[in-house]
Amino acid sequence: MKALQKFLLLALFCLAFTSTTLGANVDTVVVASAAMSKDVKAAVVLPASYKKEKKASFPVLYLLHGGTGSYRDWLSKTPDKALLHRLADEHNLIIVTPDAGPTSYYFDSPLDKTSQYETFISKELIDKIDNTYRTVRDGKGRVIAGLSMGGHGAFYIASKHPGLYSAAGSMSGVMNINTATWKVPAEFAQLRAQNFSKLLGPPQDASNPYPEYTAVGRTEELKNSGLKLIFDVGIDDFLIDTNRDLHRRLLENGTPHTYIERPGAHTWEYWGEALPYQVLFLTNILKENGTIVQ
Amino acid sequence: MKLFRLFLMAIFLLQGALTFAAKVDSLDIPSAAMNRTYKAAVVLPNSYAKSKAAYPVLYLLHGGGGQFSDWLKQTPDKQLLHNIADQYNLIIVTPEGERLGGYLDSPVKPDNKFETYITKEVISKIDNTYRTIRDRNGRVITGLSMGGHGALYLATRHPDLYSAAGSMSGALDLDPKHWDIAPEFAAQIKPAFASILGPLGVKPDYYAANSVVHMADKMKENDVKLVIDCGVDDFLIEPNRELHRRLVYNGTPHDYTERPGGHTWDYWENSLPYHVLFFSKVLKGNGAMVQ
Repeated sequence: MKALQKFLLLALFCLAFTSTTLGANVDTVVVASAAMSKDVKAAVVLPASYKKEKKASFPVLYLLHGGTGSYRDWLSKTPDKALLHRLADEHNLIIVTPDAGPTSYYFDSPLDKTSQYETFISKELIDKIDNTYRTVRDGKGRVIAGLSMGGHGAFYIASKHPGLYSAAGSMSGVMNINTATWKVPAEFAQLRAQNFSKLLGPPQDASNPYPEYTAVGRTEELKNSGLKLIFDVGIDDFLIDTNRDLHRRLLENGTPHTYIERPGAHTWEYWGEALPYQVLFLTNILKENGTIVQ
Repeated sequence: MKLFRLFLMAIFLLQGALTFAAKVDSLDIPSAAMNRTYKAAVVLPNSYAKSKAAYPVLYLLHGGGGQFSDWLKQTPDKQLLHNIADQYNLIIVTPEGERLGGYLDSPVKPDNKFETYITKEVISKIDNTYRTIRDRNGRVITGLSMGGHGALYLATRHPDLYSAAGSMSGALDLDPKHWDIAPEFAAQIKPAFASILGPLGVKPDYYAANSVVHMADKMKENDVKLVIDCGVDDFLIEPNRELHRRLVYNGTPHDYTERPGGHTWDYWENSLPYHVLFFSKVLKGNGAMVQ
Protein backbone atom coordinates (compact mmCIF):
# COMPACT_ATOMS: atom_id res chain seq x y z
CA MET A 1 0.00 0.00 0.00
CA LYS A 2 2.70 2.44 1.06
CA ALA A 3 4.89 1.34 -1.82
CA LEU A 4 2.10 1.92 -4.30
CA GLN A 5 1.53 5.36 -2.86
CA LYS A 6 5.20 6.20 -3.20
CA PHE A 7 5.32 4.84 -6.71
CA LEU A 8 2.34 6.90 -7.80
CA LEU A 9 3.72 10.05 -6.27
CA LEU A 10 7.02 9.46 -7.99
CA ALA A 11 5.25 8.79 -11.30
CA LEU A 12 3.26 12.00 -11.00
CA PHE A 13 6.35 13.93 -10.05
CA CYS A 14 8.25 12.62 -13.09
CA LEU A 15 5.35 13.43 -15.39
CA ALA A 16 5.14 16.99 -14.09
CA PHE A 17 8.89 17.42 -14.20
CA THR A 18 9.46 16.25 -17.76
CA SER A 19 6.51 18.09 -19.23
CA THR A 20 6.91 21.47 -17.59
CA THR A 21 10.25 22.28 -16.06
CA LEU A 22 12.76 21.32 -18.73
CA GLY A 23 13.41 24.36 -20.90
CA ALA A 24 16.04 25.17 -23.49
CA ASN A 25 19.66 25.52 -22.31
CA VAL A 26 22.16 28.14 -23.42
CA ASP A 27 25.88 27.36 -23.80
CA THR A 28 28.62 29.79 -24.72
CA VAL A 29 31.30 28.31 -26.97
CA VAL A 30 34.63 29.82 -27.85
CA VAL A 31 35.84 29.21 -31.39
CA ALA A 32 39.56 29.51 -32.08
CA SER A 33 39.63 31.22 -35.47
CA ALA A 34 42.79 30.28 -37.36
CA ALA A 35 41.87 32.70 -40.15
CA MET A 36 41.85 35.65 -37.78
CA SER A 37 44.22 34.33 -35.08
CA LYS A 38 41.72 35.15 -32.35
CA ASP A 39 39.02 33.58 -30.23
CA VAL A 40 35.42 34.34 -31.20
CA LYS A 41 32.36 33.58 -29.07
CA ALA A 42 28.98 32.18 -29.96
CA ALA A 43 25.91 31.39 -27.87
CA VAL A 44 24.22 28.03 -28.50
CA VAL A 45 20.59 27.50 -27.56
CA LEU A 46 19.85 23.79 -27.14
CA PRO A 47 16.20 22.72 -27.13
CA ALA A 48 14.89 20.85 -24.08
CA SER A 49 14.56 17.75 -26.25
CA TYR A 50 18.31 17.70 -26.95
CA LYS A 51 19.12 15.96 -23.67
CA LYS A 52 16.24 13.52 -23.90
CA GLU A 53 16.73 12.46 -27.52
CA LYS A 54 20.23 11.15 -26.99
CA LYS A 55 20.60 9.60 -30.41
CA ALA A 56 18.96 12.24 -32.57
CA SER A 57 20.88 14.69 -34.73
CA PHE A 58 19.45 18.21 -34.56
CA PRO A 59 19.17 20.83 -37.31
CA VAL A 60 20.87 24.17 -36.67
CA LEU A 61 19.76 27.75 -37.27
CA TYR A 62 22.67 30.18 -37.46
CA LEU A 63 21.26 33.52 -36.39
CA LEU A 64 23.40 36.60 -37.08
CA HIS A 65 23.46 39.92 -35.26
CA GLY A 66 23.45 43.40 -36.78
CA GLY A 67 25.91 46.29 -37.01
CA THR A 68 27.46 47.46 -33.71
CA GLY A 69 26.03 44.27 -32.18
CA SER A 70 27.41 41.11 -30.60
CA TYR A 71 26.67 37.40 -30.15
CA ARG A 72 24.58 38.21 -27.04
CA ASP A 73 22.12 40.47 -28.87
CA TRP A 74 19.51 37.90 -29.86
CA LEU A 75 19.41 36.60 -26.29
CA SER A 76 19.41 39.91 -24.46
CA LYS A 77 17.70 42.54 -26.61
CA THR A 78 14.41 41.02 -27.77
CA PRO A 79 11.41 42.25 -25.75
CA ASP A 80 10.68 38.60 -24.84
CA LYS A 81 13.97 37.41 -23.34
CA ALA A 82 12.90 33.77 -23.70
CA LEU A 83 12.09 34.09 -27.42
CA LEU A 84 14.99 31.95 -28.65
CA HIS A 85 14.41 29.38 -25.89
CA ARG A 86 10.76 29.07 -26.87
CA LEU A 87 11.49 28.78 -30.60
CA ALA A 88 14.24 26.21 -29.97
CA ASP A 89 11.86 24.14 -27.82
CA GLU A 90 8.87 24.50 -30.13
CA HIS A 91 10.77 23.36 -33.22
CA ASN A 92 13.48 21.11 -31.69
CA LEU A 93 16.07 23.37 -33.21
CA ILE A 94 19.59 24.30 -32.13
CA ILE A 95 20.05 28.06 -32.51
CA VAL A 96 23.60 29.41 -32.74
CA THR A 97 24.27 33.16 -32.44
CA PRO A 98 27.90 33.86 -33.36
CA ASP A 99 29.87 37.04 -32.88
CA ALA A 100 31.01 38.93 -35.96
CA GLY A 101 32.33 42.18 -34.56
CA PRO A 102 30.57 45.54 -34.84
CA THR A 103 31.11 46.38 -38.53
CA SER A 104 32.63 43.35 -40.31
CA TYR A 105 29.68 42.87 -42.68
CA TYR A 106 30.53 39.17 -42.64
CA PHE A 107 33.20 39.63 -45.35
CA ASP A 108 36.62 38.12 -45.72
CA SER A 109 38.35 41.47 -46.00
CA PRO A 110 41.19 41.46 -48.56
CA LEU A 111 42.72 44.32 -46.55
CA ASP A 112 42.12 43.50 -42.88
CA LYS A 113 43.42 40.13 -41.65
CA THR A 114 41.44 40.46 -38.41
CA SER A 115 38.16 40.62 -40.33
CA GLN A 116 37.63 37.21 -41.99
CA TYR A 117 34.08 36.52 -40.95
CA GLU A 118 32.91 34.73 -44.09
CA THR A 119 35.49 32.02 -43.40
CA PHE A 120 34.67 32.12 -39.70
CA ILE A 121 30.90 31.65 -40.17
CA SER A 122 31.01 29.24 -43.10
CA LYS A 123 33.90 27.00 -41.97
CA GLU A 124 35.33 27.51 -38.49
CA LEU A 125 32.05 27.98 -36.66
CA ILE A 126 30.30 25.12 -38.46
CA ASP A 127 33.22 22.77 -37.69
CA LYS A 128 33.12 23.75 -34.04
CA ILE A 129 29.36 23.32 -33.72
CA ASP A 130 29.25 20.04 -35.68
CA ASN A 131 32.10 18.64 -33.56
CA THR A 132 30.64 19.78 -30.24
CA TYR A 133 26.96 18.93 -30.66
CA ARG A 134 24.82 16.23 -32.25
CA THR A 135 23.91 18.11 -35.42
CA VAL A 136 22.73 17.23 -38.91
CA ARG A 137 26.13 17.64 -40.55
CA ASP A 138 25.06 18.90 -43.96
CA GLY A 139 23.08 21.61 -45.71
CA LYS A 140 19.80 19.72 -45.29
CA GLY A 141 19.93 20.48 -41.59
CA ARG A 142 21.42 23.95 -41.74
CA VAL A 143 19.70 27.32 -42.19
CA ILE A 144 20.98 30.85 -41.69
CA ALA A 145 19.27 34.14 -40.94
CA GLY A 146 20.00 37.51 -39.41
CA LEU A 147 18.97 41.09 -38.88
CA SER A 148 20.26 44.22 -40.64
CA MET A 149 23.99 43.63 -41.28
CA GLY A 150 23.23 40.01 -40.35
CA GLY A 151 20.43 39.76 -42.93
CA HIS A 152 22.95 40.87 -45.52
CA GLY A 153 25.44 38.39 -44.01
CA ALA A 154 23.01 35.46 -44.25
CA PHE A 155 22.27 36.13 -47.95
CA TYR A 156 25.90 36.91 -48.78
CA ILE A 157 27.44 33.86 -47.13
CA ALA A 158 24.70 31.43 -48.18
CA SER A 159 24.89 32.56 -51.82
CA LYS A 160 28.68 32.17 -51.80
CA HIS A 161 28.47 28.61 -50.46
CA PRO A 162 25.71 26.78 -52.33
CA GLY A 163 24.72 23.58 -50.53
CA LEU A 164 26.14 24.61 -47.16
CA TYR A 165 22.72 25.90 -46.04
CA SER A 166 19.30 25.00 -47.43
CA ALA A 167 17.65 28.32 -46.65
CA ALA A 168 18.52 31.91 -45.84
CA GLY A 169 16.49 34.61 -44.10
CA SER A 170 16.90 38.34 -43.69
CA MET A 171 15.11 40.71 -41.32
CA SER A 172 15.50 44.43 -42.07
CA GLY A 173 18.56 43.45 -44.09
CA VAL A 174 21.14 45.74 -45.65
CA MET A 175 20.33 44.35 -49.08
CA ASN A 176 22.41 47.02 -50.79
CA ILE A 177 25.70 48.13 -49.21
CA ASN A 178 25.72 51.28 -51.32
CA THR A 179 24.99 53.68 -48.46
CA ALA A 180 23.42 56.17 -50.89
CA THR A 181 20.38 53.84 -51.00
CA TRP A 182 19.81 54.10 -47.23
CA LYS A 183 17.47 56.72 -45.79
CA VAL A 184 19.99 57.98 -43.24
CA PRO A 185 21.75 61.25 -42.42
CA ALA A 186 24.66 62.00 -44.78
CA GLU A 187 27.28 61.75 -42.00
CA PHE A 188 26.21 58.21 -41.09
CA ALA A 189 26.21 57.15 -44.76
CA GLN A 190 29.69 58.64 -45.08
CA LEU A 191 30.92 56.82 -41.97
CA ARG A 192 29.67 53.46 -43.21
CA ALA A 193 31.00 54.10 -46.73
CA GLN A 194 34.44 54.69 -45.18
CA ASN A 195 34.07 51.40 -43.31
CA PHE A 196 33.42 49.58 -46.62
CA SER A 197 36.50 51.22 -48.16
CA LYS A 198 38.55 50.06 -45.19
CA LEU A 199 37.25 46.48 -45.59
CA LEU A 200 36.99 46.18 -49.37
CA GLY A 201 39.11 48.91 -50.91
CA PRO A 202 38.01 51.90 -52.98
CA PRO A 203 34.52 51.66 -54.56
CA GLN A 204 34.37 50.29 -58.14
CA ASP A 205 31.93 53.01 -59.12
CA ALA A 206 29.67 55.40 -57.28
CA SER A 207 26.28 53.76 -57.91
CA ASN A 208 27.49 50.19 -57.59
CA PRO A 209 30.52 50.27 -55.29
CA TYR A 210 31.02 46.54 -54.59
CA PRO A 211 28.55 44.56 -56.71
CA GLU A 212 29.78 41.06 -55.81
CA TYR A 213 29.67 41.85 -52.08
CA THR A 214 25.99 42.77 -51.81
CA ALA A 215 22.65 40.97 -52.19
CA VAL A 216 21.31 43.21 -54.99
CA GLY A 217 24.48 42.43 -56.95
CA ARG A 218 24.23 38.68 -56.33
CA THR A 219 20.78 37.95 -57.76
CA GLU A 220 22.11 35.43 -60.31
CA GLU A 221 24.06 33.64 -57.57
CA LEU A 222 20.96 33.66 -55.36
CA LYS A 223 18.95 32.22 -58.23
CA ASN A 224 21.47 29.48 -59.01
CA SER A 225 22.11 28.60 -55.36
CA GLY A 226 18.83 26.68 -54.97
CA LEU A 227 18.45 28.36 -51.57
CA LYS A 228 15.00 28.90 -50.15
CA LEU A 229 14.81 32.61 -49.41
CA ILE A 230 12.76 34.77 -47.08
CA PHE A 231 13.26 38.45 -46.35
CA ASP A 232 11.20 41.04 -44.56
CA VAL A 233 11.35 44.69 -43.62
CA GLY A 234 9.33 47.25 -41.70
CA ILE A 235 7.75 49.97 -43.82
CA ASP A 236 9.33 52.67 -41.61
CA ASP A 237 12.79 51.12 -41.87
CA PHE A 238 15.59 53.22 -43.42
CA LEU A 239 16.53 50.12 -45.45
CA ILE A 240 13.12 49.58 -47.06
CA ASP A 241 14.25 50.69 -50.51
CA THR A 242 17.11 48.19 -50.55
CA ASN A 243 14.64 45.42 -49.75
CA ARG A 244 12.07 46.53 -52.32
CA ASP A 245 14.85 46.71 -54.88
CA LEU A 246 15.97 43.14 -54.15
CA HIS A 247 12.34 41.92 -54.30
CA ARG A 248 11.95 43.57 -57.73
CA ARG A 249 15.19 42.10 -59.03
CA LEU A 250 14.38 38.58 -57.83
CA LEU A 251 10.92 38.78 -59.42
CA GLU A 252 12.58 39.92 -62.63
CA ASN A 253 15.10 37.09 -62.78
CA GLY A 254 12.60 34.51 -61.57
CA THR A 255 14.11 33.57 -58.20
CA PRO A 256 11.50 32.03 -55.88
CA HIS A 257 11.42 33.94 -52.60
CA THR A 258 9.10 35.09 -49.83
CA TYR A 259 8.99 38.84 -49.23
CA ILE A 260 7.17 40.53 -46.37
CA GLU A 261 6.48 44.15 -45.51
CA ARG A 262 4.92 44.89 -42.15
CA PRO A 263 4.54 47.74 -39.67
CA GLY A 264 7.66 48.83 -37.86
CA ALA A 265 11.19 50.13 -38.17
CA HIS A 266 14.77 49.13 -37.36
CA THR A 267 14.00 48.07 -33.78
CA TRP A 268 14.09 45.07 -31.47
CA GLU A 269 10.29 45.16 -31.22
CA TYR A 270 10.27 44.55 -34.96
CA TRP A 271 12.82 41.69 -34.82
CA GLY A 272 10.99 40.08 -31.90
CA GLU A 273 7.87 40.07 -34.10
CA ALA A 274 9.66 38.95 -37.26
CA LEU A 275 11.70 36.01 -35.97
CA PRO A 276 8.83 33.55 -35.33
CA TYR A 277 7.66 33.95 -38.97
CA GLN A 278 11.22 33.39 -40.21
CA VAL A 279 11.55 30.28 -38.04
CA LEU A 280 8.20 28.96 -39.31
CA PHE A 281 9.49 29.36 -42.87
CA LEU A 282 12.92 27.87 -42.13
CA THR A 283 11.58 24.87 -40.19
CA ASN A 284 9.14 24.13 -43.03
CA ILE A 285 12.23 23.69 -45.24
CA LEU A 286 13.89 21.48 -42.62
CA LYS A 287 10.68 19.43 -42.45
CA GLU A 288 10.73 18.98 -46.23
CA ASN A 289 14.37 17.91 -45.90
CA GLY A 290 13.37 15.36 -43.26
CA THR A 291 15.81 16.82 -40.72
CA ILE A 292 13.38 18.01 -38.03
CA VAL A 293 13.46 15.91 -34.87
CA GLN A 294 9.89 14.69 -34.23
CA MET B 1 -8.13 1.42 -2.25
CA LYS B 2 -11.05 3.02 -4.01
CA LEU B 3 -9.21 6.29 -3.81
CA PHE B 4 -6.23 4.78 -5.52
CA ARG B 5 -8.33 3.45 -8.33
CA LEU B 6 -9.69 6.94 -8.88
CA PHE B 7 -6.18 8.24 -8.73
CA LEU B 8 -5.04 5.76 -11.37
CA MET B 9 -8.02 6.68 -13.51
CA ALA B 10 -7.10 10.34 -13.23
CA ILE B 11 -3.57 9.65 -14.42
CA PHE B 12 -4.96 7.52 -17.23
CA LEU B 13 -7.30 10.30 -18.32
CA LEU B 14 -4.54 12.87 -18.11
CA GLN B 15 -2.35 10.77 -20.39
CA GLY B 16 -5.28 10.21 -22.72
CA ALA B 17 -5.90 13.91 -23.03
CA LEU B 18 -2.38 14.37 -24.28
CA THR B 19 -2.96 12.02 -27.18
CA PHE B 20 -6.50 12.96 -28.31
CA ALA B 21 -6.61 15.02 -31.47
CA ALA B 22 -8.98 17.80 -32.47
CA LYS B 23 -12.57 16.82 -33.19
CA VAL B 24 -14.73 18.06 -36.04
CA ASP B 25 -18.45 18.79 -35.66
CA SER B 26 -20.73 19.22 -38.61
CA LEU B 27 -23.28 21.84 -37.64
CA ASP B 28 -26.50 23.00 -39.28
CA ILE B 29 -26.69 26.79 -39.15
CA PRO B 30 -30.05 28.07 -40.33
CA SER B 31 -30.41 31.42 -42.03
CA ALA B 32 -33.61 33.32 -41.29
CA ALA B 33 -32.45 36.01 -43.72
CA MET B 34 -32.25 33.54 -46.60
CA ASN B 35 -34.81 31.07 -45.34
CA ARG B 36 -32.38 28.19 -45.80
CA THR B 37 -30.09 26.05 -43.69
CA TYR B 38 -26.42 25.59 -44.45
CA LYS B 39 -23.81 23.31 -42.96
CA ALA B 40 -20.61 24.46 -41.28
CA ALA B 41 -17.67 22.48 -39.96
CA VAL B 42 -16.40 23.28 -36.47
CA VAL B 43 -12.93 22.09 -35.47
CA LEU B 44 -12.61 21.86 -31.68
CA PRO B 45 -9.11 21.58 -30.23
CA ASN B 46 -8.43 18.52 -28.07
CA SER B 47 -8.16 20.73 -25.00
CA TYR B 48 -11.76 21.93 -25.39
CA ALA B 49 -13.51 18.92 -23.86
CA LYS B 50 -11.52 18.92 -20.64
CA SER B 51 -11.44 22.69 -20.24
CA LYS B 52 -13.96 25.15 -18.86
CA ALA B 53 -12.37 28.10 -20.61
CA ALA B 54 -13.99 30.26 -23.27
CA TYR B 55 -12.17 29.78 -26.58
CA PRO B 56 -11.23 32.20 -29.34
CA VAL B 57 -12.70 31.43 -32.77
CA LEU B 58 -11.15 31.62 -36.22
CA TYR B 59 -13.72 31.96 -39.02
CA LEU B 60 -12.17 30.48 -42.15
CA LEU B 61 -13.86 31.18 -45.49
CA HIS B 62 -13.74 29.14 -48.69
CA GLY B 63 -13.23 30.35 -52.24
CA GLY B 64 -15.55 31.20 -55.13
CA GLY B 65 -15.90 27.74 -56.58
CA GLY B 66 -16.01 26.02 -53.23
CA GLN B 67 -18.05 25.11 -50.19
CA PHE B 68 -17.79 24.95 -46.39
CA SER B 69 -15.95 21.61 -46.29
CA ASP B 70 -13.10 22.73 -48.60
CA TRP B 71 -10.64 23.64 -45.87
CA LEU B 72 -11.00 20.12 -44.43
CA LYS B 73 -11.00 18.22 -47.70
CA GLN B 74 -8.90 20.06 -50.26
CA THR B 75 -5.65 20.76 -48.41
CA PRO B 76 -2.89 18.27 -49.23
CA ASP B 77 -2.50 17.62 -45.47
CA LYS B 78 -5.96 16.55 -44.29
CA GLN B 79 -4.98 17.15 -40.65
CA LEU B 80 -3.96 20.78 -41.21
CA LEU B 81 -6.91 22.35 -39.38
CA HIS B 82 -6.83 19.73 -36.61
CA ASN B 83 -3.16 20.41 -35.96
CA ILE B 84 -3.58 24.18 -35.98
CA ALA B 85 -6.59 24.01 -33.65
CA ASP B 86 -4.59 21.86 -31.22
CA GLN B 87 -1.40 23.89 -31.45
CA TYR B 88 -3.09 27.19 -30.64
CA ASN B 89 -6.18 26.06 -28.65
CA LEU B 90 -8.37 27.65 -31.25
CA ILE B 91 -11.86 26.80 -32.48
CA ILE B 92 -11.94 26.92 -36.28
CA VAL B 93 -15.28 27.41 -38.03
CA THR B 94 -15.65 26.94 -41.78
CA PRO B 95 -19.07 28.33 -42.75
CA GLU B 96 -20.86 28.08 -46.08
CA GLY B 97 -20.64 31.00 -48.52
CA GLU B 98 -21.96 29.27 -51.64
CA ARG B 99 -20.44 29.30 -55.11
CA LEU B 100 -19.79 32.95 -55.95
CA GLY B 101 -22.04 34.09 -53.11
CA GLY B 102 -19.52 36.88 -52.55
CA TYR B 103 -20.02 37.00 -48.74
CA LEU B 104 -22.25 40.02 -49.28
CA ASP B 105 -25.89 41.02 -49.09
CA SER B 106 -26.60 41.37 -52.77
CA PRO B 107 -28.19 44.64 -53.89
CA VAL B 108 -29.80 42.82 -56.84
CA LYS B 109 -30.50 39.30 -55.55
CA PRO B 110 -32.66 39.41 -52.40
CA ASP B 111 -31.99 35.82 -51.33
CA ASN B 112 -28.18 36.27 -51.35
CA LYS B 113 -27.51 37.58 -47.83
CA PHE B 114 -24.18 36.12 -46.85
CA GLU B 115 -22.97 39.23 -45.04
CA THR B 116 -25.93 38.95 -42.67
CA TYR B 117 -25.48 35.19 -42.49
CA ILE B 118 -21.76 35.17 -41.56
CA THR B 119 -21.76 38.24 -39.29
CA LYS B 120 -25.01 37.60 -37.42
CA GLU B 121 -26.48 34.16 -37.88
CA VAL B 122 -23.28 32.12 -37.90
CA ILE B 123 -21.70 34.02 -35.01
CA SER B 124 -24.76 33.76 -32.78
CA LYS B 125 -25.16 30.04 -33.53
CA ILE B 126 -21.49 29.38 -32.74
CA ASP B 127 -21.52 31.53 -29.59
CA ASN B 128 -24.67 29.78 -28.38
CA THR B 129 -23.42 26.27 -29.14
CA TYR B 130 -19.83 26.43 -27.87
CA ARG B 131 -17.83 28.02 -25.07
CA THR B 132 -16.49 30.97 -27.05
CA ILE B 133 -15.19 34.42 -26.27
CA ARG B 134 -18.31 36.32 -27.25
CA ASP B 135 -16.74 39.51 -28.52
CA ARG B 136 -14.22 40.84 -31.05
CA ASN B 137 -11.27 40.17 -28.70
CA GLY B 138 -11.69 36.47 -29.33
CA ARG B 139 -12.79 36.55 -32.97
CA VAL B 140 -10.63 36.57 -36.11
CA ILE B 141 -11.48 35.86 -39.75
CA THR B 142 -9.60 34.92 -42.90
CA GLY B 143 -10.14 33.07 -46.14
CA LEU B 144 -8.88 32.29 -49.59
CA SER B 145 -9.71 33.98 -52.92
CA MET B 146 -13.38 35.06 -52.70
CA GLY B 147 -13.09 34.19 -49.01
CA GLY B 148 -10.04 36.44 -48.64
CA HIS B 149 -12.07 39.29 -50.05
CA GLY B 150 -14.96 38.19 -47.86
CA ALA B 151 -12.91 38.19 -44.66
CA LEU B 152 -11.53 41.69 -45.27
CA TYR B 153 -14.94 42.91 -46.47
CA LEU B 154 -16.84 41.64 -43.43
CA ALA B 155 -14.24 42.73 -40.88
CA THR B 156 -13.87 46.16 -42.49
CA ARG B 157 -17.62 46.70 -42.44
CA HIS B 158 -18.01 45.16 -38.96
CA PRO B 159 -14.92 46.18 -36.99
CA ASP B 160 -16.94 45.70 -33.81
CA LEU B 161 -17.08 41.95 -34.49
CA TYR B 162 -13.48 40.93 -35.35
CA SER B 163 -10.12 42.05 -33.99
CA ALA B 164 -8.10 40.73 -36.93
CA ALA B 165 -8.71 39.77 -40.55
CA GLY B 166 -6.67 38.09 -43.26
CA SER B 167 -6.72 37.38 -46.95
CA MET B 168 -4.93 34.65 -48.90
CA SER B 169 -4.90 35.16 -52.68
CA GLY B 170 -7.88 37.44 -52.20
CA ALA B 171 -10.10 38.69 -55.02
CA LEU B 172 -9.65 42.15 -53.55
CA ASP B 173 -11.10 43.89 -56.60
CA LEU B 174 -14.41 42.35 -57.69
CA ASP B 175 -14.16 43.85 -61.16
CA PRO B 176 -12.52 41.06 -63.20
CA LYS B 177 -10.98 43.52 -65.63
CA HIS B 178 -8.23 43.90 -62.98
CA TRP B 179 -7.57 40.16 -62.96
CA ASP B 180 -4.95 38.52 -65.13
CA ILE B 181 -7.23 35.87 -66.66
CA ALA B 182 -8.04 34.49 -70.09
CA PRO B 183 -11.05 36.08 -71.87
CA GLU B 184 -12.90 32.72 -71.82
CA PHE B 185 -12.65 32.51 -68.02
CA ALA B 186 -13.76 36.13 -67.71
CA ALA B 187 -16.77 35.40 -69.91
CA GLN B 188 -17.57 32.32 -67.87
CA ILE B 189 -17.73 34.08 -64.49
CA LYS B 190 -19.40 37.24 -65.76
CA PRO B 191 -23.02 35.98 -65.42
CA ALA B 192 -22.41 34.68 -61.88
CA PHE B 193 -21.04 38.06 -60.80
CA ALA B 194 -23.87 39.84 -62.60
CA SER B 195 -26.37 37.80 -60.64
CA ILE B 196 -25.13 39.24 -57.32
CA LEU B 197 -23.72 42.65 -58.41
CA GLY B 198 -25.71 43.49 -61.52
CA PRO B 199 -24.24 44.10 -64.97
CA LEU B 200 -20.78 45.67 -65.29
CA GLY B 201 -20.44 49.27 -66.45
CA VAL B 202 -23.71 50.72 -65.13
CA LYS B 203 -24.45 53.17 -62.31
CA PRO B 204 -24.39 52.66 -59.41
CA ASP B 205 -21.20 50.60 -59.71
CA TYR B 206 -21.81 47.83 -57.18
CA TYR B 207 -18.49 46.21 -58.11
CA ALA B 208 -16.47 49.22 -56.93
CA ALA B 209 -18.78 49.89 -53.98
CA ASN B 210 -18.22 46.38 -52.61
CA SER B 211 -14.52 45.85 -53.40
CA VAL B 212 -12.14 46.04 -50.45
CA VAL B 213 -9.44 47.56 -52.67
CA HIS B 214 -11.54 50.73 -52.37
CA MET B 215 -11.91 50.49 -48.58
CA ALA B 216 -8.39 51.52 -47.51
CA ASP B 217 -9.68 54.61 -45.71
CA LYS B 218 -12.26 52.63 -43.76
CA MET B 219 -9.51 50.15 -42.83
CA LYS B 220 -7.44 53.02 -41.52
CA GLU B 221 -10.29 54.22 -39.26
CA ASN B 222 -10.81 50.72 -37.89
CA ASP B 223 -8.58 48.96 -35.43
CA VAL B 224 -8.72 45.57 -37.14
CA LYS B 225 -5.26 43.98 -37.51
CA LEU B 226 -4.66 42.96 -41.12
CA VAL B 227 -2.63 40.21 -42.78
CA ILE B 228 -2.64 39.89 -46.56
CA ASP B 229 -0.70 37.61 -48.89
CA CYS B 230 -0.66 36.48 -52.48
CA GLY B 231 1.41 34.24 -54.75
CA VAL B 232 3.46 36.05 -57.37
CA ASP B 233 2.06 33.75 -60.08
CA ASP B 234 -1.53 34.34 -58.99
CA PHE B 235 -3.94 36.01 -61.42
CA LEU B 236 -5.02 38.18 -58.48
CA ILE B 237 -1.57 39.56 -57.61
CA GLU B 238 -2.22 43.05 -59.00
CA PRO B 239 -5.31 43.87 -56.87
CA ASN B 240 -3.32 42.67 -53.83
CA ARG B 241 -0.40 44.94 -54.72
CA GLU B 242 -2.85 47.78 -55.23
CA LEU B 243 -4.42 47.42 -51.78
CA HIS B 244 -0.93 47.12 -50.21
CA ARG B 245 0.14 50.33 -51.97
CA ARG B 246 -2.97 52.16 -50.77
CA LEU B 247 -2.56 50.96 -47.18
CA VAL B 248 1.12 51.95 -47.16
CA TYR B 249 0.18 55.33 -48.65
CA ASN B 250 -2.57 56.12 -46.13
CA GLY B 251 -0.58 54.69 -43.22
CA THR B 252 -2.70 51.68 -42.23
CA PRO B 253 -0.65 49.08 -40.35
CA HIS B 254 -0.79 45.68 -42.10
CA ASP B 255 1.37 42.66 -42.89
CA TYR B 256 1.81 42.02 -46.60
CA THR B 257 3.54 38.98 -48.08
CA GLU B 258 4.35 37.89 -51.61
CA ARG B 259 5.68 34.41 -52.07
CA PRO B 260 6.11 31.78 -54.79
CA GLY B 261 2.97 30.09 -56.04
CA GLY B 262 -0.33 30.47 -57.80
CA HIS B 263 -4.01 30.03 -56.99
CA THR B 264 -3.62 26.54 -55.53
CA TRP B 265 -4.25 24.46 -52.40
CA ASP B 266 -0.50 23.97 -51.99
CA TYR B 267 -0.28 27.72 -51.64
CA TRP B 268 -3.14 27.98 -49.13
CA GLU B 269 -1.93 25.08 -47.03
CA ASN B 270 1.42 26.81 -46.73
CA SER B 271 -0.13 30.21 -46.10
CA LEU B 272 -2.65 29.38 -43.37
CA PRO B 273 -0.11 28.70 -40.58
CA TYR B 274 1.38 32.19 -41.12
CA HIS B 275 -2.08 33.74 -40.78
CA VAL B 276 -2.71 31.78 -37.60
CA LEU B 277 0.69 32.81 -36.19
CA PHE B 278 -0.33 36.42 -36.87
CA PHE B 279 -3.76 35.90 -35.26
CA SER B 280 -2.27 34.15 -32.24
CA LYS B 281 -0.22 37.27 -31.50
CA VAL B 282 -3.30 39.49 -31.79
CA LEU B 283 -5.36 37.14 -29.59
CA LYS B 284 -2.53 36.95 -27.06
CA GLY B 285 -2.41 40.74 -26.98
CA ASN B 286 -6.18 40.68 -26.36
CA GLY B 287 -5.73 38.23 -23.49
CA ALA B 288 -7.92 35.81 -25.44
CA MET B 289 -5.63 32.79 -25.78
CA VAL B 290 -6.38 29.67 -23.76
CA GLN B 291 -3.16 28.70 -21.94
